Amino acid sequence: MTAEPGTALPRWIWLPAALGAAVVALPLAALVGKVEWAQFWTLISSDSSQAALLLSLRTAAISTLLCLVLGIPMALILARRPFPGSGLVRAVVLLPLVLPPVVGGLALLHTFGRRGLLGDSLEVLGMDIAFSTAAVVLAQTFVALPFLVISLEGALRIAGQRYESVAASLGASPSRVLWRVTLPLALPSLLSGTVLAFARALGEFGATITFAGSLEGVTRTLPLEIYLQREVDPDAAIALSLVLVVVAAAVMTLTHRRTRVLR
Amino acid sequence: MSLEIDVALSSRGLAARLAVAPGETLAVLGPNGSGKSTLLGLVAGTLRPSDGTLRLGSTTLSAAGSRGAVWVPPHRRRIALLAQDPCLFPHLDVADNVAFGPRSARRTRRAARAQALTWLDRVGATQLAARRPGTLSGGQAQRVALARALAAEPEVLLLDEPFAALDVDATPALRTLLHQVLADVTTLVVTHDLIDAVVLADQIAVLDAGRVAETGPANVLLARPQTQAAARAVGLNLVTTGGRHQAFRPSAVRLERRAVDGALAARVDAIEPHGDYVRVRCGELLADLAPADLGPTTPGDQVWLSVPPGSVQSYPEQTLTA
Repeated sequence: MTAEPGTALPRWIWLPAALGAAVVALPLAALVGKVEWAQFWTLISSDSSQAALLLSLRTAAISTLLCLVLGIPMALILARRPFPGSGLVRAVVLLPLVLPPVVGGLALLHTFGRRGLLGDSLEVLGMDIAFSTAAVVLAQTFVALPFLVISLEGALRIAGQRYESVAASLGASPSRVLWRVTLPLALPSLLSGTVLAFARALGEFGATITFAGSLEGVTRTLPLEIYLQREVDPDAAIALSLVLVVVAAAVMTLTHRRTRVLR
Repeated sequence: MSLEIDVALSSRGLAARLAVAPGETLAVLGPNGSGKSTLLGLVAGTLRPSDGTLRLGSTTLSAAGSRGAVWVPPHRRRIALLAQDPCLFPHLDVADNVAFGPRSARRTRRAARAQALTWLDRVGATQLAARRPGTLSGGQAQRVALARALAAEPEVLLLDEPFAALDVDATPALRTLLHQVLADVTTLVVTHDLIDAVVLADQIAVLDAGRVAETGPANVLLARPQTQAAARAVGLNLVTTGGRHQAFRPSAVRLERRAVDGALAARVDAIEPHGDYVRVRCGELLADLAPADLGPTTPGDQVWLSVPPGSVQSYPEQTLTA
């Protein structure tokens, strides 16, 4: 992309912009600089690291799927069929965006924990969610869901309903309109929302440690493992951090490219 | 199938009663804000009438009020809409766009494609089948949109200003095409462009401030409108005296600065460009003059209007059964 002539920016704006870029880029560079490359493979392939990485990928994938299944209908209703009080519902659903994750974890604990709101009923059903892998998934879904809802809802609002009206007049049932018109047209924002949700789930720490604890192979995801290793084996912590950075960057780049193609 | 419209939407101030006979084309004319879009929305099912009934053949599509509510959702009405924006699905190629209706009717992929290609051929767009909508010109896109609407095999086709967004070059060819393919499709076309009605319509209805001011066969209404609203819609001046209408074209009107025998004294209300002419508005009367014939004139000027007798159509006033 080339800048259009005549749209000049004041020169001083480069200074804060460069500072901002440095605030993000410098720590990442420092992290990379601290990596013990000679032992890198050994550090990240230890049993506990492997377990944490696999658990993280598995739970983040399931959470992202849950976000899609629950978030798409929510975004559709908020964008297309506002009802009395839908503004309040939106505000509550988006709250995890600004809520400290540890608070979210506490809230989850008091809902699904053994002494929580639903704890008794769940126990009757033989389900004990707190401090299990299910709790990890729940915590990740809790914090990641708003990312999907907010990006999809915005796109649906902007797109309007012209195409849907035409599709209906051609005889398409509401379900067919949804699958064949609405969702394909919203695909770019659906993809970016999915990536954001996945990345948020992958990096989730506060709600997880509060609600799910840190049980190796069960609830100790990569961020938790990094936090623990930081005390015991700083080199391993740094190596694992780099793995997270690479995974996040890869996902981000892939979707960015895909989104641009679709547009 | 025939379409019988007798609907009202109080929040938009519309109450209209119209009928389209099987295979006929009804053009609804009227200025902006007269309720044309609302009428289309009510027929297509994107708006719910506050009162009245809508019938397609022997099927009731919507009925409100005390007679027991009926509501057929848009996708079961078999009424296709062609709007001024072609609205081709950008994620599907042209053939898949046209096949969308047949696929929605649960045709197999192959049958739907065959049907799509048949219709693309009818509108002369076969060579566009594999193109993406984004690569089409406005005229091409509107042809494809027409094929898509007809491929859905609707009982009624709704046209909403179908040429408004096209450039001048593409419009005549498409209008001719529409005239051919609509020959035996029941069609309701809403437009403010008189030429659409002239070329396409069997019947014309004039909508004014949410009410049907006048309906009639196109050739009658175009030549002998009975109401001011209809006269305005078909571009005629109408003066009624002693039970007779006098209709004449604005371009036949002469404008004088001084009192002339038989001329009508009037005051200029507005002056606006109108094609190659300058349109002078004096109350209900319009005069289209060549710029050179007008001379310096400002709103408020006193003028005298006359029409050569040969340019006036005179016919009896009729009591309308609306």
